Amino acid sequence: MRFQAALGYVVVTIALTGCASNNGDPIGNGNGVAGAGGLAGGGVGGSTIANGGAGVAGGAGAAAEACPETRTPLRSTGTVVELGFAPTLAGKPFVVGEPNTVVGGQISPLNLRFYVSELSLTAADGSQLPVDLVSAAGQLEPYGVHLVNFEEPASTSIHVLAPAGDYTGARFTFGINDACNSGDANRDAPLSANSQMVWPHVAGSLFLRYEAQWQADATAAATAAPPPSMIHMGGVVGSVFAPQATLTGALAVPATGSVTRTIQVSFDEIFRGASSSDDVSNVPIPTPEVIAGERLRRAVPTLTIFTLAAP
Amino acid sequence: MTSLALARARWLTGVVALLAGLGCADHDATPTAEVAEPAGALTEATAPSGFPAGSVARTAPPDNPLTEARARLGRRLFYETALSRTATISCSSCHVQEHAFSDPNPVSSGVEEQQGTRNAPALVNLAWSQRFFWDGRAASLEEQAGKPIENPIEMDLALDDAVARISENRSYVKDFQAAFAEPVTTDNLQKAIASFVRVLVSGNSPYDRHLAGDDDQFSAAAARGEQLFFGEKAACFHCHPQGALTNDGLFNDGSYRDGADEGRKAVTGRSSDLGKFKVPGLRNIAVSAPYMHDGSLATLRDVVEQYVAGGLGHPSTDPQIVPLQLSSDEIDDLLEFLDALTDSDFLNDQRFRLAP
Repeated sequence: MRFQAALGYVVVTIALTGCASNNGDPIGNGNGVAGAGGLAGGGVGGSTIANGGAGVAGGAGAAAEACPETRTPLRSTGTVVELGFAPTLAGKPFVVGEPNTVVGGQISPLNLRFYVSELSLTAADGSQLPVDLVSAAGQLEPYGVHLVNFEEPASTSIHVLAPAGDYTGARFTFGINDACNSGDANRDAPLSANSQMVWPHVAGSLFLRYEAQWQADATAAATAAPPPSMIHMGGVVGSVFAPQATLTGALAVPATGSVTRTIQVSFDEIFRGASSSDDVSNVPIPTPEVIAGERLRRAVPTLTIFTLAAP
Repeated sequence: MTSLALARARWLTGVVALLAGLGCADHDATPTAEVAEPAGALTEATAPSGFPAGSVARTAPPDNPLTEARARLGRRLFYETALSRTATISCSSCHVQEHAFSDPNPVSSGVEEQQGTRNAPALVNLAWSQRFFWDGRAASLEEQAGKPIENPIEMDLALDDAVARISENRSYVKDFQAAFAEPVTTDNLQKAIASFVRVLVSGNSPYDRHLAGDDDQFSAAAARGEQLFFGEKAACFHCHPQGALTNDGLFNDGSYRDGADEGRKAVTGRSSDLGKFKVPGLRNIAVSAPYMHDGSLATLRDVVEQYVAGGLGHPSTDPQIVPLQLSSDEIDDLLEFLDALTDSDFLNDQRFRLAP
C-alpha cells in the first residue's frame, strides 16, 4: 500500500505540472518530453508573431521546438470570427474547378491551396493583436497553421478567436514561418506531404500552389500573354521566408455571437505579382512555376490581394 | 459439433460440391466457422521513414481506435467469401498479397464474373491516406470498407445482409464482442476491415534501407534512378514526394481519353476534375502490375514511356505533365529505382494471411 501511495503521488505531481503548463497533447503522442519542449517553443512562437513572423531565430535544434503541433492558446475566450476566402478576377468570382471566361480565353483552375498562419488583427491605433487560428469547432489549429484548399470547401474558411473590438484589418503570414518550414514530411496535417505543399526542390515547403488550364479563344488574336498557368510560391529554410500579407477592410467584432465575413482574393493582383519583371534568376530551380511563385512572393507586401467584402 | 469439426464438415461439403461438378455455382454462404490465425501482433507497425511519425495506431480515427482484436477480426473478414452475394469472393480475391494487395488483372471480376472498370488498387500504407478509391470518393478507410461489399458489380451484398450472415456464426459474434463489446453491426463490420487495412504497412524495401544508410541492395543504377526521380529531369516527385511517395492528391496525369472513365469529375461534377485520379504510393509498385486506374498499361516501362511522351495528349491533362527528355539508359535507371521499392517482407508477411 505504501508503494501505491508513492506511485499515486508521482502521478499527481506529473498531472499538476501538465495542468499548469496547459499542455494537453491531445494528439496522443504519448510523449511528455516532446510536449514540454513544444510548450517552450510556444513561447518563442508567441514573440515571433509579434515580430512579424518571417525570421525565427535559433539554430536547427530550436527549430523543432519553435513549431509545436500543440500550442499554448493566446486567450481562452473571444468571439469566433469566420473568414471565408473567395477568389475574384476582373471583378467577378474566379471559380476553382470551372472555366472562367477572361479576355482571350478561359482559365480553369485545377488546384489552389495556400497556407495562412500567424494572424493578427489591426487595431484602430495601428497596433497588432495576435489571435489564435481555430477550427470551426473552436479547437486550436495544429502548428497554428491553416491550409486553404479549394478541393475541400470546408477548408476555404479560417476561424479566429478574437476579443471584441473595431479593427481596421489584419495581417498574416501568407505561408508558414521558418520554424515550421523544415521540409519535414514527418509532420501531421496540415504540414504533411498530403498537403501537396511539399517543396521538393529544396528543404522547405510551398506557401501557395496554383495550377490551371488555359484555353485560348479560337477567334481571339494572340495579343497579351495569358496569365501564368502555374504558380508555386515557396520558401527556403533560413533564407527565403513566407511573405506578410495585409487584409484590408473594417472588421467589427461584437462581444457575443459570431461573425462571418468574406475575404476576396484578388487574382488580378496575384497574376500581376507573378508576372512581374523582377529578376529571379537566383531561384533554386528556374522552372516557370517557381519563377512565377518567387515573383509573387517578393511582390506580396506591395499588392492588395486580400480585401474584406462588405458585410 | 466443435468448431474444428464444423470447419472440416464445410471443407468436405466443398469437396463434394466440386466432385459433383457444381463448381462455383453452389457456394455455402455460411461464414468460415473458425480460423487458425498466424502469430504476431498486427498493430505494432510504425511509420516508415518520411511518413508522419509514430505508430500506425496514431492514424486511426478517434471513433475506431486501432486494437489487436479489431485488426485480427478485420483480417478474418478480409478473407471471408460470405461477404459476397454468391459467397465466392472476398476482399482478398481482388487484393492479393503477393501483388501488394492489388489485382494482377487489368480490371477485377466481381460476382458472376462481372467486370469492373478500374484496376483494384494496391493496399499499402493507406493508414496515412485521407481519401480512397481511384476517384477519392471515400474520406476514410471505414467509409471505404463497405462499398466493395455493396457494389453490384463487385461483391453485391447489402451490408445488412452481410451483418445477418456474419451474425449466424458464433465465433464471429464472439470476436465482435471482444473487439467492439457489441454484436455485429454494419458500422463495426466496416471498422474491423478498416483496422486490418490500416496495419498493411510497408517500409522495408531496399530504398527504405538505403534511406537508413544501408545500400547493400540498392544498386548504382537505382541510385541514378533515384536522382532522376527526385530531380526536375523526370520530375516524378511532384506527385510522388519523398516519404510516402504520394501526395495523396487527384490529378489528370495524361491517361484520360475522350469518352473514358471521368474519374473525380463523376464525384464532384466539376469540369476541371475530368480525368483526375488518385496518385498512388509507389512502394511495391513493381509487383502491382498492371498500371493506371484502368489497368491499361501492362508494365512499368509502359508507364514511364507514357510519361516521357507527356501523356496521351488530351487537353484536360494537368499542365505539370509535359514531355520528358530521358534517354533509354535513364529510363532503365528509373525502372531500377522503382524495382528497389519492392518490400519482400511485406509481400511475404505471414501476419497478413489466414493460416490454411
